[in-house]
Amino acid sequence: MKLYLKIWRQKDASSPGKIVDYTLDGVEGDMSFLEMLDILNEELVSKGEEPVEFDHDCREGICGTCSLQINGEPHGPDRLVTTCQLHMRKFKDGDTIVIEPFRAKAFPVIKDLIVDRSSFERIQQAGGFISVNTSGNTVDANAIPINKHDADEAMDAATCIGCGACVAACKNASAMLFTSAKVSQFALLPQGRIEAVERVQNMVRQMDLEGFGNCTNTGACEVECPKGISLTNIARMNREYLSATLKG
Amino acid sequence: MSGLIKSSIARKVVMALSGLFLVVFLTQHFTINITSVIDPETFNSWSHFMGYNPLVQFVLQPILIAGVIIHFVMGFVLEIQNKKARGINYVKFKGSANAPWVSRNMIYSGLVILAFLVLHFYDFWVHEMAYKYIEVSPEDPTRYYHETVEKFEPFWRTILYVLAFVLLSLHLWHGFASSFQSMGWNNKYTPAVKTFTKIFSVVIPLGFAFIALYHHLNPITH
Repeated sequence: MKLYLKIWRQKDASSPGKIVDYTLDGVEGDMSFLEMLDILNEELVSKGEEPVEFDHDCREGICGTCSLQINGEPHGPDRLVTTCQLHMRKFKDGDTIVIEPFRAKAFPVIKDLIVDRSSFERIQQAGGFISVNTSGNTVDANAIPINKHDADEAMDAATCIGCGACVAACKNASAMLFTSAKVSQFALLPQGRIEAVERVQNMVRQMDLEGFGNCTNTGACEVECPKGISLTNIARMNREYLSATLKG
Repeated sequence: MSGLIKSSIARKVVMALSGLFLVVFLTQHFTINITSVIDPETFNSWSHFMGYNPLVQFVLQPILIAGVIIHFVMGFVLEIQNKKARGINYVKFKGSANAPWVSRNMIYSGLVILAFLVLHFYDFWVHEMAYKYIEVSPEDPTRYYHETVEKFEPFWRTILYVLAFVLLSLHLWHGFASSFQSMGWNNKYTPAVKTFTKIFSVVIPLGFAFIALYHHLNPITH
């Protein structure tokens, strides 16, 4: 198929960017979206032009590295998939595809379609962990019985790959879905309860410091999340935060 | 506690609590207003009570005004922060693909309701304050019904009121259930809250619109 691509090109973080038009022929439905961009880049390199920079790593939908706002939606029009798992059969011959970086003040563009998502790392570092003695006296996690429902919910929250699609989809660029998934995966388990009060306060404080927007419960994040992280995590984080702050 | 005041979650809780307070007020306002259609005498006596009871006038009324101000000021603060959080806008943003129109446009439905409140205050509250405190007119427990019906004589005012009620309905459609989520209340009762939200956000504004249209179509003949 033949596609008309409108891609955001930006030399570096301090330069202004713009949309550049490309026409790409010979795209197969079985190609992933990133393979389509690989082909475009091969053409650009063969013509002596600068290839389009974009983030990618595992290309299996599990690492959270790929991003891209495709035709106005993070990870494109398909549901529960990352960009690397989005296939070109979702598009038709002659389609125009607008490809932009994820947009948020807390996700500054580094180059072309690559954004700096280290703000997520800093939120994680603020409290997304448990303190465990690893000096040889480590208690086996399975020694503590955990209700299956809670274990399943914690696992569901832990499937968040931190790609940033929630922020990209939210009209307010809010990081509440990401932060709440990271809070929930610990809050639901006995090992996580020990530091629960400090964790939620520190992670929410860091989230606010990074300049993410406020959640207005539109639910866009949940729809666009490639891992199907639920809005119930946001309610849980709100509960945890209010109870932690009133206690503290 | 100082962190609570500055945090994004606390600001949303303030929005939720003030919103729920206004929902309770709307229910009470509607209950009184509907009597103007059912029984004018009841409407007169309830309105007189609301207008002259010191607890209503000097405690509840200031709380209500504070609730309205807190809700819309916080709404503006959040909107400004949210716009800043995006930074550079997308060339293409398909909001309709993942979220309903009402949830994405609360600021606009809210602004229309705010504009309506200015008109509504001018129509009833300013008039009432002038009657009691500027003109210092005597108490008249029978005046409320005909004053209300006369207000809806002009077609333009009736239409503006009905339009505002449509936007109120849209605002409630998202806001009511959303306030529970903001306060961390998402559990097995949430589907019931969402269903109740839909019923409430249609029935109450429709009822208000009915009252306005009823009085417009049934003027007092002198």
